[in-house]
Amino acid sequence: MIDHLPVFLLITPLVSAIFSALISLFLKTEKIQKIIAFIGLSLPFFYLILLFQELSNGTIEYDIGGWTKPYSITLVIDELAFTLAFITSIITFLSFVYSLKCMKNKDGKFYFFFLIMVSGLYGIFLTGDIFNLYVFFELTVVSSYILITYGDKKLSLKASFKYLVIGSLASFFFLLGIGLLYIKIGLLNIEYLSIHIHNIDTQTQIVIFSLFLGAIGIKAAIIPFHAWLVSAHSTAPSPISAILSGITVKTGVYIFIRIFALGFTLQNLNEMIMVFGAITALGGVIGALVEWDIKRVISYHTISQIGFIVVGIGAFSTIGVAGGVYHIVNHAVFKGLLFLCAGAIIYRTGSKDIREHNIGKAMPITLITYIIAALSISGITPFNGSISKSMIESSVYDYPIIWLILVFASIGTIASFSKIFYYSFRKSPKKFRETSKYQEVPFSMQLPMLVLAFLCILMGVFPNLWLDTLILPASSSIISGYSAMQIKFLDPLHILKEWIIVAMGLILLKVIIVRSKEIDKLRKLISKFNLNNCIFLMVITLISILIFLRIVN
Amino acid sequence: MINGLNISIILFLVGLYGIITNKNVIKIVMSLSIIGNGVVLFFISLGFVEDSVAPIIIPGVDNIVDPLPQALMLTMIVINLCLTALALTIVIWLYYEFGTLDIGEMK
Amino acid sequence: MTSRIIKTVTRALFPFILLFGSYIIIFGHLSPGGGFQGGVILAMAIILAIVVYGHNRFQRFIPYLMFVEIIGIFLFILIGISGIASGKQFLVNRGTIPLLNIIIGLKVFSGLVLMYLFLSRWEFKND
Repeated sequence: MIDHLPVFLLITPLVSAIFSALISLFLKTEKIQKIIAFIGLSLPFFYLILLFQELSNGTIEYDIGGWTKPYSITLVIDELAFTLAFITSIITFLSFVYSLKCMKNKDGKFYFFFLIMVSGLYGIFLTGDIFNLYVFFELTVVSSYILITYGDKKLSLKASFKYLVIGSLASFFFLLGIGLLYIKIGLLNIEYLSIHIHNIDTQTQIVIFSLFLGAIGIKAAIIPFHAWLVSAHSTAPSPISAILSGITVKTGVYIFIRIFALGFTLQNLNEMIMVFGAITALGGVIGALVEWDIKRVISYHTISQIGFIVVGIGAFSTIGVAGGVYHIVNHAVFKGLLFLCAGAIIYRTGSKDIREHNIGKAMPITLITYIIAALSISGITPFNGSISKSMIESSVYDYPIIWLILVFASIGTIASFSKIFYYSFRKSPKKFRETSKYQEVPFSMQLPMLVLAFLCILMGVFPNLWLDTLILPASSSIISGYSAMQIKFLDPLHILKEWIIVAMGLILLKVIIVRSKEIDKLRKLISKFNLNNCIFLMVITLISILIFLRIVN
Repeated sequence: MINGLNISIILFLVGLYGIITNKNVIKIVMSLSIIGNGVVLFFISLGFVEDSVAPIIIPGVDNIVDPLPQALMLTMIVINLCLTALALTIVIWLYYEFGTLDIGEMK
Repeated sequence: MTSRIIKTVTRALFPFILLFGSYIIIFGHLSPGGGFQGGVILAMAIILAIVVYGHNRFQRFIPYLMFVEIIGIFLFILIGISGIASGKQFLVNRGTIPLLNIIIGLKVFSGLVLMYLFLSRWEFKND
C-alpha cells in the first residue's frame, strides 16, 4: 500500500468532496460535512510524513494506467514537489479550521468546492505530465472562481468575473505553448521535454518561451499581468484569501521553475526575468502604500513578494533558487497569517477600512500574531522572512540596480505594515464605549493564527531544519552543481542593514500620514484599470517581449 | 496559405480583439468561446500529416494522422464548456445585482 | 409558445435521439465517439423536451440527477482503485473501458440537463 500513496494523496480530498456532496443532498445541516472535510484534509498530511522516509532514497515516480514511463502520465515527487505539497497540507488544514466559525453560508456546498480546490492543488504539485498540469490547473482555478463569490456580494462578483476572463486567457496561452512543444518534441512528459528542448531551433524557442511567460505572468501576477489579483483576493472570504494568496498564486511560480529548468538556450534570459521581478516588487509596494482597505493592502503585498521570488529564481544560482523556493514556503505561512488576522479584525469590527478600527488592546492574540507576521514579511532577524530575503538579496549582488530596487521595496513594506498597525491597533480614549465591545475572536479562529505564528518563529530560529533536508537539494536538482555553501545568518552587518531599513520605513510612514491628499489622487490614478485596459497592456507587453528576444538572439 | 494553423491564429486574434474592445458582458463571454475554438483548431491541425486518413484502427491501413492532439482536445472542449457555463451564470447573477449588462457602468 | 407541429415531431424523434446517443457511447472504443460525445447527444434529447414542454414540470427531477452525477464519479474512482486491488497500478485497463464510457456518458448527460434546469429558473419576464 505504501507504493500507491501518491495516488491516494490525490484521491482522498476528491472522495471526501463526493461524500460531502452526497450528504448535502439528503441533510441540510453542516455538521457531518465538517467532519468529512476534517478527515479529508488531515489525511494527506500523514501520507506526506510517510512519504518523506521514502523520499531519501530518491525521486518517487508512479505511472498511472499501466503504461510505461515516457508514454504514461506519471506522478513525480521530488524535493520541490514534496515541499510545496507539505506546505499546502498545512495551510489548507489550518484555513479549514478557521472557516468553521467564520463562514456562515446557507447552502451546503462551500466545503464541496473547498475540497475540490484542495485536490486540484495537490494534483498540480504532484504531476509530471504537462497536459495533466493544465487539467489540474483548470480544476483549481474554476473552483476558486466559485469560492470567491462567497465573499461580499457585489464586489466579489465583479472581481470573480474579471479573474475568470483573465485566467482563461492564461490557460489559452499555456495551451498554445504546450501545442508547439508537442509538435517539435513528440512527447508530453516534463522530464523528457527538459532533456530534449535544446534540439529545437531558436526562433521556435522564442515563441514558446514568450507564450509560457504570458501564461505564467498572468497566473503568478507579475506586473504587467497583475490586474486581476487585488480585487479577487480582497473580496474573497478570509480563509479562501489565505489559500489563494498562499498557494494558488505560487502554482504559477512552480510551473515557472519547472519550465525555466527545461533548459531554454536563449541569451539574456536571466536579466529579463530579474527586471520583471524587480518592477513587480516595487510596483506592488507602491500600490499598497496608497490604499486604506486592509485586505487590498495585503493583496498588493502578495504581488510585491512574488516579485522577490521571481528575482531570486531569475538569478539562476544555487543560493538564488534556494532563496526563492524558501521564500515561497515562508510567504505561504506569513501571508496566510496576515489574511487570517485581517479576517479576525473584520469579523469583530465589521468594516474593512483601517481608519475605522479602534481596537487598542481589546484583541491581544490578534495583536501579537499580527506583529509577528508584519515583522516576518519585513525581514527582521529572528523570523523566517529574514532568511529567505537575505538569501535572495545576496544572490543579486552583481546587479546593483536590482539590489537597490529590492531595498526600496523592503522600505515600503515596513512603512505599509506600520501604517496598518498605527491605524488599526491604536486606542483612542475618546471612543471608550465602542472599544469595549470588541472581544477576542472565538477559539477555533485563534488556533490557526497561533499555529502559524509558531511556525514563523520556528522556521526563523532553526532554518537548517528545512534548508538542508528539503530546499537545498530541491534547488540543486534544478541547477546542476551542488556547492554546500554555508549561509551565515545572524551576522551583525545584516542586522545593522535591517535596522537602517526599518528607520527609513518609519520616516516614509510619517511622510504618508502628513501628505494624505496627494495619496488619494495617486489612488484614483491607479484604480483606472478596468478589464479592457489591462488586457490591452498584457498583449502589448507580450509583443514587446517577443521583439526583444528576437533582437537579442 | 489557407490551412488550419493560419485560420486558428486568425480566430485567436479575433477573439482577443473581442475581449479588449467589447462593453457588453455577454459578448466578452462569446469572445472567450471563440478563442477556445481557435485553440482547438490549432491543436488538431498540428497533427496533420500529408495523404493520410482518420485515426481509426482498420486492418491494413498504415498512414494515419496523429491521434494524440485529438484526444487532448476532447478534454479541452469539456473544460471550455464548463468555463462558459460558469461565466454565463456569473453574467446572470451580475445582471440580477446591478441591473445592467454594460461593464463600464457596473463600477 | 410552441405549436402542435413541434410537439408532435418532438414526440416522434425523442426515442431515436436517445438510441443514437446510446450507440455512440457503447461503441466508443471502436469508432469515433465515446463518453462525452454520446452524453451530449443524450442530453440534447431531454433538453429538446424541456424547451418544448416548459421547464416547470421537470424541476422535480433535480435531486435524482444530482444523485446520478455524484454516484458516477464515485464509481469511476472505485474502478480505478480496483486496479490497485488486482495488483497493478491505478486505472489499469482490465477490459473496463466500455464501462467507463457508460459512466461518463451518464454523468455528462445528467450534468448538462442539470445546467439547463438551473439556468432556466432565472428567466426574466420582459414587460
